[in-house]
Amino acid sequence: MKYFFKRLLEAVPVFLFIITVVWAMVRFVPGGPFDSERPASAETIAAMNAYYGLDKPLYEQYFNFLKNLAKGDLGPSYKYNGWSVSEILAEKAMVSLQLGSVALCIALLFGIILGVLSAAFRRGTLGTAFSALSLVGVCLPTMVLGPVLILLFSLKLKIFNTMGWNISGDIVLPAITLSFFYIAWISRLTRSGVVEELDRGYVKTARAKGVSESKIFCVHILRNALQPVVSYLGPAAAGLLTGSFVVESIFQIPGLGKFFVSSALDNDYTMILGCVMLYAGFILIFNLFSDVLLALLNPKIAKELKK
Amino acid sequence: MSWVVRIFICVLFVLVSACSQSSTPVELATKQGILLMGNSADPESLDPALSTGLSESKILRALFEGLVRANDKTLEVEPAIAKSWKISEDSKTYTFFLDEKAKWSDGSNVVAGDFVFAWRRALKPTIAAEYASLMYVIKNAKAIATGKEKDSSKLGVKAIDDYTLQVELENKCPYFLSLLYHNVFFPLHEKTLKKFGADNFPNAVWTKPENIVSNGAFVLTKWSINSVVSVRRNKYYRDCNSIKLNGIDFIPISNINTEDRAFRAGQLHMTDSVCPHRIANIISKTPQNFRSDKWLGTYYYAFNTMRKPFNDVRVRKALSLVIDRQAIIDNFLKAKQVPAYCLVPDGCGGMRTSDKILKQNNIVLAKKLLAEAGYPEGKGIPVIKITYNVSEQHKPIAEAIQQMWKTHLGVNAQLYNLSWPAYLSARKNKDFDVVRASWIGDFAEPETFLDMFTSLSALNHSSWKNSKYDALMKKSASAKSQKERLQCLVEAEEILIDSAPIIPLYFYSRVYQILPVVKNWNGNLLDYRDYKGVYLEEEVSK
Repeated sequence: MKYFFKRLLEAVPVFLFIITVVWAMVRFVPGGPFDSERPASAETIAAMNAYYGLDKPLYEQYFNFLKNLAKGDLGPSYKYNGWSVSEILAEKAMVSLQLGSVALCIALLFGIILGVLSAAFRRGTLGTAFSALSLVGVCLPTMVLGPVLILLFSLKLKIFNTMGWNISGDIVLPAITLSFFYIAWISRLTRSGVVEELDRGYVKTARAKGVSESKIFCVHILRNALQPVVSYLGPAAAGLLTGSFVVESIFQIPGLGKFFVSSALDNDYTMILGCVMLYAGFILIFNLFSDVLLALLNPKIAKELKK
Repeated sequence: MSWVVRIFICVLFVLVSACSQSSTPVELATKQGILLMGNSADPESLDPALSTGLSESKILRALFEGLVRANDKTLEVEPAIAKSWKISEDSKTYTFFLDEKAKWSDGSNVVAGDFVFAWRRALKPTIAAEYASLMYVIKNAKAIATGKEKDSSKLGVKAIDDYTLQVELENKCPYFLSLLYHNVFFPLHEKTLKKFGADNFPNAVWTKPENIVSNGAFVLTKWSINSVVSVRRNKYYRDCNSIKLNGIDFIPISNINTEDRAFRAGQLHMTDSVCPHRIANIISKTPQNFRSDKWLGTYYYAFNTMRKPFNDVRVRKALSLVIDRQAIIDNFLKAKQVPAYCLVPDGCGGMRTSDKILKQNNIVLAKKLLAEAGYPEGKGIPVIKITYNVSEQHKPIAEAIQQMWKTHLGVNAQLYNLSWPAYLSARKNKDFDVVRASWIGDFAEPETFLDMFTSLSALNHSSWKNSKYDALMKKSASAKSQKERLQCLVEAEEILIDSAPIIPLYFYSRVYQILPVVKNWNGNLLDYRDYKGVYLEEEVSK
């Protein structure tokens, strides 16, 4: 617990550093947030800058930003007039969280099963087939897989909608598309972990003691073999739960992914910072969780951390 | 592992049965009288004074109604909130008589004061309305917008009584009534805006579904960013019988392939656009769904006339003359757009393109002009920087032009593909040789295009200046007759094209797919419609 809070405290300066760098960087991007096809007059730009406090000196803008952040206010979106960044992110995060968690569950379930199977049958044709399948999964981009699934399940079989986020079934195709890469990657990590553990002394001892094969696999080998998967889960979970621009665009899902790209293209300063903070926060938290989980799985790591 | 397989099959079965629908969303919506419409982007603002884009305009025309409306076929001026009007002899004073049946969506009456409030607000410097410049024809409007006149009551608009509005113009403006189609002229509900602090600041919180009070045929019921904007019938609308739809769902889909798939799967009645590579297939398989309407827009390239060698008209002309517009249309756009050799689409506001303007490419003449300018076979011309913004459409056009210049003139060009803000910044700072540009008319009159190239216009990216051109534009505004006005405009365009600060490439078309169940959907040059008369016919869909 002490370790947990120590890591949490360590994350604060990292987080502050990230947002400060991004806050400064966005101001050096060419163009301003109020540029448009019809060039606005100097009066218009001045009025907009005054309204959003962009006419103040940079240090004052930065301190105002930190002051508002402390109050939980991320400021108004410059692109979506009348909407606050927190309001948009809260609404869209719910969608991305739902989609991401389903995709994460699918990825873990099928990734681990496939990994274990391909390790178990590694010397046969089945094992080669599983490895090939995972290689395809890593290589197949979502921008190809998504339209293929739509073509098959929406346009031909008419089972699912091609786009939107209206009925429960709308989550199926995007979740599969989103998880496909992660299934492949997790299965490869699991496979190599399991293969490495199979020849270890404790496995031989367990076999000599007459422990059943399934128990050896599920209780002894997996516990150790899954450590690389758990390390990978931190950034993977952050990536999945904050949405994906490509998948959201293919399936027209109102999640967070779009804002990571569009806010940067639109110079929507406050939205860029909101997205970065969210992603950075997720990365820090999930990395922390995966470290804690690793410690629980491996007492050696826990001992090292206590030192 | 059999239990895993069993669970998987069960989950799949439950999901499939949950998702399978007996009817498509379009069939269900048709029964309910709801139009499902693809919209290219999310609205950035639904404040009529502040919104600037086409995707917003479509929604605003459902929510608000101005003094006059455009006939959705001919764009002729028709009465709306103003049931009639009177124009003074000097054509500088307009008196509008308002429909007493007009109501806001909260049941209160729409009065002349609502227009006065909205127009004064749009011109406040603190509001920063981009399209306030359209109001500059009104007396003192420009002085108020630029802060030179502090008293907004001096604006040439006043409410004589609740149902009589008088507008005084700075100068005669023959197209003033057409200007009133624009959303910046829509009335606003003063009480609501004041309640949300939007009367003095560009704060559009009042436009959220729970707050908004509007006066159009529909009211806003849902606005979820990147998901849907839903409008439903306004029970207080003054002309209820002309509205046949029960509502419209505007679905913002920026990915045109996603939109196309949604249309094919029965999730949309109509799309906002069509991917060029799909056009041939659609025309051959479902021609009844394909529409290509003329649209008041011109796609062009502008030279930076301050830079060498583009300060020489012969170089500019030569580079323009070798471009095969038809080849660009046939190979990349594929929707039978019209090649452009001038700026104003033929017939806009009654203006016919001058016969003096050459309407084809001419490589021999181009080579001759280039040689005369001192660059025979393109020798000595530095590598030309073509600047454009990221888009699937702009890139192949730029590449084709690069190739045509190289092949016919021996001129090398380099492409600069920039993000939207970087592109705007480069254009504003004149950091380009040749820049892609386009213009969609704000009103169906030639001035919406030709005013851009007057010396003081902020939209004149080429920095080209011509005193004779400026004089003709000024003269057209005070012309005694329509004939004289159009003559001035034709002459001005001749000067512009002869000086070639721009290379017009093609005139826009609105290309989209629409199901035959949607009836009375008329295309018009401005793509303006208030959805009056549009209806869905259920039988055809079966």
